Formats: sequence, C-alpha cells, structure tokens
Amino acid sequence: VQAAVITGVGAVTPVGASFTESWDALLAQKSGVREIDLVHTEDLKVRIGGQAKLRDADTSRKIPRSHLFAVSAVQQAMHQAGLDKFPEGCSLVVGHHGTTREEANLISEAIDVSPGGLAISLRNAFGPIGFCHTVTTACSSGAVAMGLGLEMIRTEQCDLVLVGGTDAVISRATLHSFYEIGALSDRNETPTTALRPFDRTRSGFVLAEGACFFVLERETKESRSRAIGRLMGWAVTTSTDSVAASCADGEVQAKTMNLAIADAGLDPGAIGYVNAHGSGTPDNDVAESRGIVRAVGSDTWVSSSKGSTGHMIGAAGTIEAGFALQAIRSGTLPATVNLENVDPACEVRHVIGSPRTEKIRFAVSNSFGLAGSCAAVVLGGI
Amino acid sequence: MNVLSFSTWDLDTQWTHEFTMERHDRRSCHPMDLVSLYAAKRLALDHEFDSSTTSLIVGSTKRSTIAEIAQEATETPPIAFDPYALMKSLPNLAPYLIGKYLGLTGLAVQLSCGVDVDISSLIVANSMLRSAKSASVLVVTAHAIGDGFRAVSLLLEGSRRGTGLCDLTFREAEQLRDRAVPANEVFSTCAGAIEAGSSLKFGTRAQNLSFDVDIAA
Repeated sequence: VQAAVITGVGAVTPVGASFTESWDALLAQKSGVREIDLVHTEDLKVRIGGQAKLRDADTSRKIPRSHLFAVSAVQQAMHQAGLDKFPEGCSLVVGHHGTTREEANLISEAIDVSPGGLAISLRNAFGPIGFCHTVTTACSSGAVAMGLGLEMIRTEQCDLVLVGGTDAVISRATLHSFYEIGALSDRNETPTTALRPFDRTRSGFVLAEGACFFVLERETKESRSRAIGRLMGWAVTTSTDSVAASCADGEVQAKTMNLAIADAGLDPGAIGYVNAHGSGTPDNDVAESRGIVRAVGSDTWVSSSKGSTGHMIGAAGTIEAGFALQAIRSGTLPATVNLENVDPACEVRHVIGSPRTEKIRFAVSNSFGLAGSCAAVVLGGI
Repeated sequence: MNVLSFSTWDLDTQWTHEFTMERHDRRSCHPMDLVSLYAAKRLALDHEFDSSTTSLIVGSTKRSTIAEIAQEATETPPIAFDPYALMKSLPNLAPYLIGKYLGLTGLAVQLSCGVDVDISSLIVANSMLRSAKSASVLVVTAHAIGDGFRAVSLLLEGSRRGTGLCDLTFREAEQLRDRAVPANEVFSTCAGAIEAGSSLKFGTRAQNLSFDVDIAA
C-alpha cells in the first residue's frame, strides 16, 4: 500500500475565495447560499444557490467560470507546494461535470468548452503539462479524480499530479431539472438555512459552484518535509439499482468505504472522522447513515460540509476531502451547518452545534453521485 | 496489456434493438451511451468474464449535454419537463447502463477528455492493471463518426502473452512513428488489426504527447 503526500491545497467556494477562508467559514458555521444573480430565476421554483467567491479573477479572458475557479484553486495549491508553474512531468486529473449553456454562450466558440478543454485553460495559465484526464462521474467526479491521481503515483507514471474538481453548474436548466427530480430545496425565503443535512426538516440540496485542487507527490524525504497530509486510499463502485436514487440499505456505500479503507491498509476502527456526502436529500442521508454504521460503526464522528458550501457537484468530493484533511491537521471537527434536529433514521455520531476538538489520525470523505457512482477517499496526517 | 476480446458497434448501420433494454433506458439514452452499451454487450456475448473482478472504463467525446437539455427543456418555463432529459444528459450514464446490463458493480470511471479519450482510457486501464486494482478492465470508447456513432470495446488484462488475442502495449514516444493515427481512432485501429489477426505498430499524438502503440498478434 502506497500513499501520496499532499503538499498543497487550494479552493474557491461559495464561502471563501481560498481554502483557508472556506475552512474558517465552515468552522464559523456560515452558509454561502443566497439568492442567485448569475441567471434570471424569477420564473423558477428554485431561486437560491451557492455562487463562488472569486477574487481578482481576470474575467477579461473569455474562459468559462469553472475554468476561472480551477485556475485560482490550482494557483493556491501550487503556491503552498512551492511551485509557480507546472513542473516537468506533472500530470493532471480533473473532476468536471461539464459546462452549462450559460457558460458556453458567454464565451467565444473558439474556446473549447468540452470537459477536456479545462486542461487547455490550465496549460495556458501554468505551462505545459503531461497526462491530462477529465473524469465525469457526476457528484463523485472530484473524489474519483483524486483516486486516479493516486494510482498514477503508485504506478510511477509521474512524481507529481494535480488532482481536483471544478464546476459552475448554476444555470436555468440545472435549477429546473434538478428541482423536477426532487433533488433541490426550494426554501427561497431562507437561503442560508435551506440545505440541512441529516435534519428532520431537510428538503434537498442547493446547487453550488467552485473548485478545489490538491498537489499530490510521491513520498520522499524532501516532499514529506513540505507535506500537509497524505492521500492513502480510495475506491469507486457502481450501484445499478436506480439511476437517480441511493442504494437504500447503505450496502453499496458501506462497501465503497470499506474498499477505500482497505486500499489505505487500515482497519475500519482506525477511522476517526467521516466527512459525509450528506447532501440533505431525504433518501441519501438515510442510506448514507446506514452505510457509515455498517462500514465504521456508530462511534465514528460524522459531519457534512454542504450546509455551508452547498453542493459543488464535480468539486464537492475534493473540497470535502480538503476539509477532512484539515480536520486531521487542526484537531477540529467541523459541525454540520443547519443540523438542529437529527432525523432518527440518520443516527450516526454527528458533530452538531459547534466544532469539536478531537485528535484523529485518519478520515474518510464520501461522494455519491447520480448514475450510481459511489466514491470514498481516505486521508491521513503526516 | 493482453487483449482478451474486442467488439465494435456502429450506430448508423446497426440501429436495431438487438439487445433487450428496458423501455425507459432506451428513452433516456444519449446515442453515445447507447452505442457504448451495445459494444460492451456484444463483447460480453462473445467472451465470458468475471464481473466481480472486472473494472469498467468508458471514454467518449460526449460533452456534458446540460447545454442540450437546456435547449430542449428550459427556454421559457413553466416547462413540459421530460424527467428523462436530465438522465439523458448525465455524462456518466454509459457506465451505469453497462454496469446494469453486464452485472458490473465494481470500479467504474467515465472519462470525457475530448478526442484524446482513447489514449486517456488506455493510460487509466494500464494504471488499474499495474496497481492490481483490477484483474481485468473492460474499456469502451465511443466517438461521433460521420452522421453516426462508433464504439469499440476491449477487454484487457495484465500482460500474459499467449492467453488472449494479442498483446497491446503503448508508451510515450519521443516522436511520432511514420504511421500516425488520430487519437480518437486508436481503438478502432486496434480493433481492425486484431480482427485481421495482424501485428501493427502505429503512433498517435494526444495531450501534447506522442505515443507508440503496438499490436502483437
């Protein structure tokens, strides 16, 4: 079993223009959900979303928002890792659900808005790059990208790989269609408390946008001296019960977590914290709770970050893995924002009310997506 | 890597529902997903494999079709919404369908790297086999060809010469070989060589890198 060290992390989220800002906002239990002004929503049932905070972006260049988020997050991550351009032999794996019509219409037809086009925007910003893979497994895209990056290190395809996720999916089409399948909360009058993971009154998730990237490196004495943590294992499985619904009894979710924990060379009892997918949809939260108990028991601390950030789709897996890593580093477990009355069907050991000081060594981050894609990554400290 | 089996499917010439599909699955299929499913199912008819140890990698040039459903569905709400439109737009619908119809519930990844997706799929498949993450990998790639769509499926395992149809190796190259094929025709070219039982060496350029691909009969 081989881990990769993480030497940098960067993010753009609805609660912060950097990873640090986003973490601080999560601990302060702030929500980034508000009335949408990116697109007109007067005639839609859902008018709220998590619009990302983007500072000092060069918007004069006609590139999609999701690409702008990625450039900013990658820049932060590379800065922390001591890099200012892509080093020779560097690879890239990106989780990216896609580009919305609004984004596509904003930009020149000459710009490649296909998922693979994101690599071009990053090359333009940071120089030539080696292998570039774009993963599109819906809401698990970011987590799967992390796993594929880890395998590239393990199989010695590269010594350094940027892994991350980015998406800007707030559009009239997505707001409408996700609402129609019952996935979105329509609490337009109370946006900051609309997304309520594991709460009795939860009513669905809130679409959000942003990016989060990590620098992964082969572990050496030198890279370890700069490391902020380790990516230790991962797994992705497919639930074919339904294209839209979770595996209700939590079996697939538990299997995914256990495969990831085994891939990290750990026993389930070693896991001190689970950053749950916790989307706030009625079905997911029940099924995931069952899966967590089956996989790691009922004594492991659990929280979801989506009450703060909203659901960042292709970037959700990476920002939540980042929060899990920061929980290990800081010894502080973030509480689930907007969780007030735990649904009895979601009985796990919730971090509720306020952050909790707890020294943990290993954490799992779950990401479950449409079309049955279930992913989990395992993080560890240095 | 060892090629255990392969199959191709062209949607323009073979647009028949030869395989049983549930009606709602047909309705919610993007043609790129459908052709991928057919290529995978045809391979499964020819070659039995252990679904518990086989991973699935699907690569296609299907864009995220959020933009497409926007045109169909949301110009001026209220909308007569087709609940299948969102599913049809899912970039990762093909691995779900292939998993469902072939009983694959393990590692499944959808790649959407533009025309480079053939070579990306090979790289990822190679990673999964080398790291022993999978005993075998079913790789399916699909592309728009003229007015239709073509998918090619390859069942790969770690190199054990002599146990399959042929060996397939690829590596980064300093420069392209004389015989170069476009990155999105790598799988079709491989399938053609395998079908003809001939060895073939060719180069391709993808992601600013050159690759050599060898098919050893």
